[in-house]
Amino acid sequence: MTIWLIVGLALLTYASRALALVFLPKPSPPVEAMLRRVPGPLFAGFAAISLAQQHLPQH
Amino acid sequence: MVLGATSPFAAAIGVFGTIYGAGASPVADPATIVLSSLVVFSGAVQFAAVGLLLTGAGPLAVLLTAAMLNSRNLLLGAALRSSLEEPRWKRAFLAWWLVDETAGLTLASPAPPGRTLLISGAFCYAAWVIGTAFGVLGASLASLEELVAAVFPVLFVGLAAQSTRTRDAVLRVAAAAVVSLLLAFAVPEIRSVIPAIAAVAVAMPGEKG
Repeated sequence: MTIWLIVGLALLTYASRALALVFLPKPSPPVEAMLRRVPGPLFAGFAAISLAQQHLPQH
Repeated sequence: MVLGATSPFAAAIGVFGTIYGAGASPVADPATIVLSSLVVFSGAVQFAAVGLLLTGAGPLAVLLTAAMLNSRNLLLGAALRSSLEEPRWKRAFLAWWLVDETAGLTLASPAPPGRTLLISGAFCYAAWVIGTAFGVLGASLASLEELVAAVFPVLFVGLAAQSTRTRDAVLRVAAAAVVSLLLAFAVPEIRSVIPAIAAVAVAMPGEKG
């Protein structure tokens, strides 16, 4: 793992975090309503994947 | 209140940081391993990078994988965006603390979102970096890996429950869990972004009535 690879990973990761939070305008009401419905299902998905992790085929 | 809610996540993240610090030693020297946790702050990306480098993959493959793993941050950021009233420069600062766990805590907490993201993020960041340093210094918590791995589903179920108040929401949560499992067994290569895909898919249809 080189310093340049770490810099690349850091830039990619921060950019993905900042893109929506910094540059996205406030969403329109329909999009905002949809986004409000995302968190519960998203965490349910994370829970399901973490539970199944050991049984999933390794790649 | 935020610190209390963050503690179990931070403890689990600290253990995984230690496992990362110890496991990354074949591909980097100790200072580089700690530096990676200081400037990347993403368990998913860092574990994947080490795994790929151990199999002989090149930097391009590592960066492409990181880009795919990071795509879920776009969704988390979009979900948080409407609740953050801070000016752009403050949102740029807050973006640093956005990881799965802190986004979940922020979305589920009644406390001001910017403050929750900052406090929970700083706590998880400290746990990740300190855990990495312990791993580099030779601490071995591999025996705890299974125990800690079992903590994450419980914490995420708790977060899902906190953001689920209506029958419609319960149905969407159940649907997302089922869709995630089906997709994970069908295409395990993209398991890291599956929850985001499933969440958007079940959130798209409008509420009835």
